[in-house]
Amino acid sequence: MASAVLAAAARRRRVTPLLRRVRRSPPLVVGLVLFGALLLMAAFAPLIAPADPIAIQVSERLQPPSAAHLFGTDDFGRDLFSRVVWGSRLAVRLGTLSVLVAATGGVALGLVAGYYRGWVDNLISRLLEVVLAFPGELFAIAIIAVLGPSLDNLIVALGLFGWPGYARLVRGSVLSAGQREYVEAARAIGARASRVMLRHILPNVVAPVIILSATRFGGALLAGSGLSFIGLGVPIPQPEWGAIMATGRDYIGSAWWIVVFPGVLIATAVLGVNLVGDGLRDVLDPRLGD
Amino acid sequence: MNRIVRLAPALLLAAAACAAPAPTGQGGTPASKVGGSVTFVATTDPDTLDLHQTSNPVSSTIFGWIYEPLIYQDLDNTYKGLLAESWAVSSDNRAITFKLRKGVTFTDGSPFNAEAVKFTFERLVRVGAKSPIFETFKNIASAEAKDETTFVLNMKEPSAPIFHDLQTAYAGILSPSAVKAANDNIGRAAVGTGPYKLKEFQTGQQITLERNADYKWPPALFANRGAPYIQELRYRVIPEPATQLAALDAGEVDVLGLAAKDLARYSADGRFKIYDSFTYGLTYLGFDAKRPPFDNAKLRQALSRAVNKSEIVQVVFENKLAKVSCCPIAESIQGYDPKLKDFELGYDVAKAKAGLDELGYKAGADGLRATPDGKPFKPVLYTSTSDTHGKISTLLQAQFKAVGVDLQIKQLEAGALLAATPKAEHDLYLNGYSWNEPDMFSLFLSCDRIASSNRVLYCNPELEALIRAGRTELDQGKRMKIYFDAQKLTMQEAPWQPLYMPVSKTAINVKIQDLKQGQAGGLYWHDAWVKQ
Repeated sequence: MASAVLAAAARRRRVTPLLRRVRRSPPLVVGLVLFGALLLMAAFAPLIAPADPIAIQVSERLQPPSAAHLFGTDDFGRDLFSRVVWGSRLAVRLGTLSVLVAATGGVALGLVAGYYRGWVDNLISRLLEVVLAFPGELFAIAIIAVLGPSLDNLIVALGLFGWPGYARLVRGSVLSAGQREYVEAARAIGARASRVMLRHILPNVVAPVIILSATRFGGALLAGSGLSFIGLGVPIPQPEWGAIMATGRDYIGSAWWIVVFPGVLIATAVLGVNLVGDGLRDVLDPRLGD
Repeated sequence: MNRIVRLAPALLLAAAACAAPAPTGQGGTPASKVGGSVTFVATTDPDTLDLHQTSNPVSSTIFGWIYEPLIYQDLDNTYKGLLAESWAVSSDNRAITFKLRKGVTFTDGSPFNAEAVKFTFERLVRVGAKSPIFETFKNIASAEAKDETTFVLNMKEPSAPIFHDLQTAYAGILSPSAVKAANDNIGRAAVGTGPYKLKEFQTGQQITLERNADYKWPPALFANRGAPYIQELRYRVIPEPATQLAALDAGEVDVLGLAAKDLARYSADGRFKIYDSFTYGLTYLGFDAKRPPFDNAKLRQALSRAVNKSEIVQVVFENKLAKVSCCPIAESIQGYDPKLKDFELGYDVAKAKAGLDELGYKAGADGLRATPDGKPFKPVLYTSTSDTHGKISTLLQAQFKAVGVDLQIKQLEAGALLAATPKAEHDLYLNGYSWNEPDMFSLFLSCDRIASSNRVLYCNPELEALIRAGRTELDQGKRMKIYFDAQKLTMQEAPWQPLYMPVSKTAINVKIQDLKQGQAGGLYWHDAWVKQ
């Protein structure tokens, strides 16, 4: 009984300062609100969007924003508000999955490299240096040129050029954590390598990985929109934000709304996740803050 | 195989026109019209004016004013004599005898005759490996100068498309004495019979042409029967599009082709008039006519009827940068015949649905059709990643959905697309062709091109016979009848559905008067003059 009370108190002591630190960081709060709004929009897209995002109605083309079409219509007469709302699903899926692909691969390779060192480390480090030597987006363009444009291939491409960042980060943390007494102790009592890596080392690198992921989520949104803008991303007629902007480019003088609304959404979403990333670094990094 | 681009006729580049060939008896050039200058843009530095040693379109535009070919393509796209007065074809279709025009002189003073033609064509065969018409001339067995005004061309095999090549700027006739005087280095020393002569060649900057005051043999279609009115033509070398526009704005350039994005601005600008011209080719929606299910002509016909071409031209091109096409040979190309419109399947949703129902493609609860054996019917359209093709595909998808067909779109980068289509990975195919000759049939619809440029994999023995007949019939009238039948058959069998012909826009300074256009929209300059 007493031990349970003590444990709960200990947990409260650990948790409360964290929440307080979150509340004391306005950028983080703003970021969480923006990011939360993006997630809600994606989750409830069918309820929010008034129209089918791919239904063409030529008689309604290039209508300015109005009560009937909140964000106006595009060159095919599709309701832009519905397209932008449905586009948030693609954005969230793209960001989440590409970060997941990059993080899974990168963390695994970083752990292995940092733990085993020697020739394994050498091999993985040289490999990640080779990948880092390519400009990321060019690398993604090359991958998509081979695989063909689709959302899944875009996720793979962004994941493939995202993993070296994770691998390098994790490898560094593992190198320092590997010297700690508790790791030595775990090895001494005969724990398997996988157990040492996953139970004793991995928890130490979770915070920086989360921070990096938030930053990379924003990067993936931007890169995905950029690739869709040049026709290498999500195939038509899906309402990807960058692709919507690409079609609006021809009408920028006569129908500004096609470019402006998805552009604002991309900027807001990326700002949101970047603020979350920065804020989390302030909150989670023990070397910073109080 | 790369995209094949055919050459523009020399006359469009080199001459001037009026819509109705009005024979006027005006004696000489009215003094008030002569003078002034027109400045064009050269998008690249013209490497050489030696017409046998280049395939650079900028060079050919420039030497097109200086050299003249034996024949030209008239406003209605038929071939007429330019330096030749007439010609006759032998009964075996292997020899063409040209009767040459008398009283023509080169600008170096030497006379034009059959020897000059023979000299020119023999030089082409000897040094012309870079020339785009070199392949055609490999089919020449011999060239004979029978007398001063009789020239005979003997071919190894009968080939009707040779007339097309003979009317390009690349087939212009050289002055033998000028070539000898220049020691065969005529890259900067062009001497021909054309309405203009070379005045100055400043490499990388400007090429200046000056009016040939002795010119008096323009094609019959012109009102002006003498030398051109415009004193000087200048080609300024400006490769960068933004700089070209700045030069147009500043009045340093008088003629410039416009990109779609600049069209609105220059249409509203009173200093320029916008001229339409049509590309030699069209964009079509093809079916993989070799594999099921689209080896069935009835299915191709049903889906062709679901295609609303005017909606495509309206939505994608704002009714400006394209014109609806009815027939396999584009309106800009010889062989087009408006009577063929009667055989167009046409946009008809009810007939499209009825056709699909009849073939057993029944609609399910969601309105989408399944194949006769009950599988979902999801044909895949292959096209390039270009914006235009993407937009057209989006519309086609919606138009097919209206008849219950769930079209899938697969956009591939150009190289991958060309590699994928001969392997028959596609069900439908959206792309264009560009070829200024009715013989485009043998490239894009013949059996022996199935592994290369025939991307709809269509092979029909009946059409094949017509294609062969069209290639070897040198009589223009008979030949066009053959292509009428070939087009009618293609339109009924529907291996592809022509969608639209691209329209290009050129801004021209309003100071240039009496500039008129041919049927294909090409600009004809010989009657034009500059308002001072």
